[in-house]
Amino acid sequence: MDRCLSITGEMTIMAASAVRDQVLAALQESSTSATLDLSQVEAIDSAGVQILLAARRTAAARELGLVVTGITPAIAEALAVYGLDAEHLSTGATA
Amino acid sequence: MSRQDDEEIIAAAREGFLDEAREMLAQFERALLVMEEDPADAENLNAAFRAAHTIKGTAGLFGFERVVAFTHEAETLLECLRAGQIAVDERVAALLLQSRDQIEHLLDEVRTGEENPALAERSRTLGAALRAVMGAPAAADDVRPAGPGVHEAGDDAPAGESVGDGCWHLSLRFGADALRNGLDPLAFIRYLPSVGAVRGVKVVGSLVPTLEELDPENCHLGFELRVDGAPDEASLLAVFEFCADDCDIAILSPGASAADHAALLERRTGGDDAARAELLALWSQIGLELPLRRATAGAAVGEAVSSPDAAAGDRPAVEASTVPAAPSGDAPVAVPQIERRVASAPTDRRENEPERRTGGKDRRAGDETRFIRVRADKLDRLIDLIGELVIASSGAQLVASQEDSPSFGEASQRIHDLVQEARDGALGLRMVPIGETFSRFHRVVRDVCKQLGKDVDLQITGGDTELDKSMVETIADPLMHLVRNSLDHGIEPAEDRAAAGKSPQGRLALHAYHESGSIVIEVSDDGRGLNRDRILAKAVERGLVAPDAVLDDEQVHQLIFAPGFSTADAVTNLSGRGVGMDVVKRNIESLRGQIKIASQAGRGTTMQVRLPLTLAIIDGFLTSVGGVSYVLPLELVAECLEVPEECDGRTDRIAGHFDLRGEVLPYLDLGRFYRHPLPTSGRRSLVLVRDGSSRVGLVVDRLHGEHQTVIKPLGQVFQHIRGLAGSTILGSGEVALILDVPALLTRAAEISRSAVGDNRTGRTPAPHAVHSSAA
Repeated sequence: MDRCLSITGEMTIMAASAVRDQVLAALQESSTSATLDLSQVEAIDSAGVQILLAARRTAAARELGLVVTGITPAIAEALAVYGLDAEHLSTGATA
Repeated sequence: MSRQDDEEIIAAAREGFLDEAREMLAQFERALLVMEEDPADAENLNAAFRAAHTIKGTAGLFGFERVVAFTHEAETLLECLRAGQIAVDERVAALLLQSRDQIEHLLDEVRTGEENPALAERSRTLGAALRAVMGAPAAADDVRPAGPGVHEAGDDAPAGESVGDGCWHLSLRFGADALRNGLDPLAFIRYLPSVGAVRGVKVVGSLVPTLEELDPENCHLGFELRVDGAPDEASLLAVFEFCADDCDIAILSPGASAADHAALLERRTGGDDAARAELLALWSQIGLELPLRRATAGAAVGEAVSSPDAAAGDRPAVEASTVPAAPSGDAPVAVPQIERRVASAPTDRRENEPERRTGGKDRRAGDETRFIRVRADKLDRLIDLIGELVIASSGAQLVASQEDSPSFGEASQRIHDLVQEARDGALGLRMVPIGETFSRFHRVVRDVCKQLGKDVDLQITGGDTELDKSMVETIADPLMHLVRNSLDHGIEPAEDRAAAGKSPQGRLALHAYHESGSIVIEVSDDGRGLNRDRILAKAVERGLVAPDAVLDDEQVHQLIFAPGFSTADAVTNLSGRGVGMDVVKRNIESLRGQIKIASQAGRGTTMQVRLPLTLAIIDGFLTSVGGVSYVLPLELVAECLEVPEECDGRTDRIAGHFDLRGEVLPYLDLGRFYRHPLPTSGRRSLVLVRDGSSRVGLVVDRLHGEHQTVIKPLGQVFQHIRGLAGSTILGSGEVALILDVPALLTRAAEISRSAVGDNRTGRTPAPHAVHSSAA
């Protein structure tokens, strides 16, 4: 079962716990692949990026596909600083 | 030590936070004002950033969410400024200043514990404005165009770079608490381009655990970076200066040997093969190729994060690459080298750049060695105790002289001297330089000038003059009034100034200095000066003075301190409502201070505030009148004389004038003034006291000499008595009254003026009757 999670609000240290729980739940619920839609994310900081990295790792460990979409310019900028982009964050497993 | 419960401890810590935040705000403001002048001053931007950051961080510790949320916005904008993404312009500076005020208001909210919805709304609008400033360029800014060396991060570095290619290598491992401490690695890496071009950056993915294991507030981020064109290691370290405690930084210089690299690899991976392979792969991706390294390694472990197998398979390659490259330099030799570099880095930095020790953790660490925060009530208690000690030591001296024991006398004298030193030391603890108060006025002057459309240069001198901390707080408001008054009424608009032949830029000076036991603060402007005629006319109109009264300049000037007095034709929202100057005077008098005005029409006005150095203990001069002891502040005593004939001749007269070496001075007979029975016998003395430029003789029965005086307030019942500043307890246990010299001076002048006619006829100049005696 595919699961698409749209994250809204902030992906910052302030909201990190809640976002982690959401993403983890989405990954646990999906059987083949999951999609994270970030288009509604208002702000992101390192805590947010860290969740995305952890999500990739989790998906890889569970052999799930993970697709990160809806990268806003602000998120792209933050990722770029870290030398990351949407592809880095998605896994290549069964889409 | 009494046991404090948690609530008390938290409350105390909160006080500390609010105190610190206030200092940080002051630093923030100073930095912003310099920023307006010199937008390119990087150190200054850093100072502002650090200040905002410290406030945010500490507020976060206490859970003051509203402060954190708003300060974060301001900090983010500063971060953009630091990174050169947007330039400082007037709008940005104004917004930041408004933010500073907003932070202050939010802190006030914390202090009072009341939540004001309007303030929250303001946080939102101001926050939006801050974001708008950043947003405009940021949106069109996926690939940031600004500054030298901005990189297209994520792109692998050009191939062909290898060890010694002119790039610095940075290996960063942020500590678990970095995020919680408000240190966002993003901010630091964003800032790097200001030092050198970032050629490649990689996150060490394996450090981040899976979501299940992730504590999202812990930081698991580590980076490998290549930076081109950094001038030296110190400049790179400076970027990470205030996360030094929360970040393990290793830097390899462009010329670092393969051994150095091997050592770093060892240090980062601790011999773990998978990690080693991953790191090598990352290095390869950012263009760092170790000599003899097999080209396949990078590709093989490209996804080392999720494929440990691949990494394991690559192991031989790694071994092959590092060991032969540095035959003698395997880990044991090379590691210490890097370790040393890292360990010594913070020390070097402090030595080279002591002025940088003003931010974040570093600043706190530095301050702890130089300053200790002490609760004010503890200090007050100490000073109280010293006061009691002073009294007790006077008592011991008294006993010594009564016993007529030389050795006891000597011992008590020694104690007395030490107590005196301890007293000065204890009082010194409460002394703070006034400069901090003065520097607030940069902002006031700036804002008021913007509002009034005037151009005024603020000059501050004597900022290191010290005065009692409690006084600093009370004096700030009156000074504010004086400064605003000068800006509004004193300094003319540029056109008027030009017409009067003055430079279009006005000058406002704040000056402080010590003078005979007082601290003097002057607020002077080169404006139009007080209009004597207009003040007098207004005063007559308001019935403050009789139409036919003859007043000297000083008296006319003092009229502006009458309640509700204003000569301003137009009431501005700054001043001119006639509220204020009377409050100013009252505030200053409540500190046993005085205010005087010197003004010259067309040339400017100087307001001089004179305050006692301390409110607690003074060196006194003990006298007695009619069996009651009176203390005069010693520094005001000019000399002691035998009572001149003209003072003693007229027994019915409280005050009059006498002749001192040809100079006519007023005197006040304290015995008669306080209605003491006149002494039946014995010669009386006259103590000449001065206050500023005026002098007055006080006739007393006996002189007892110097006395350390602990000032105790007068009880409610006695507070209306004129000329008394307080009371003190003598060594004998007796109560002595402390004379308020300025008030007596005024009173003496009043009385002798009212009797000026007959005094003139009755006075016989008789220089031979005056004998100076040692003061």
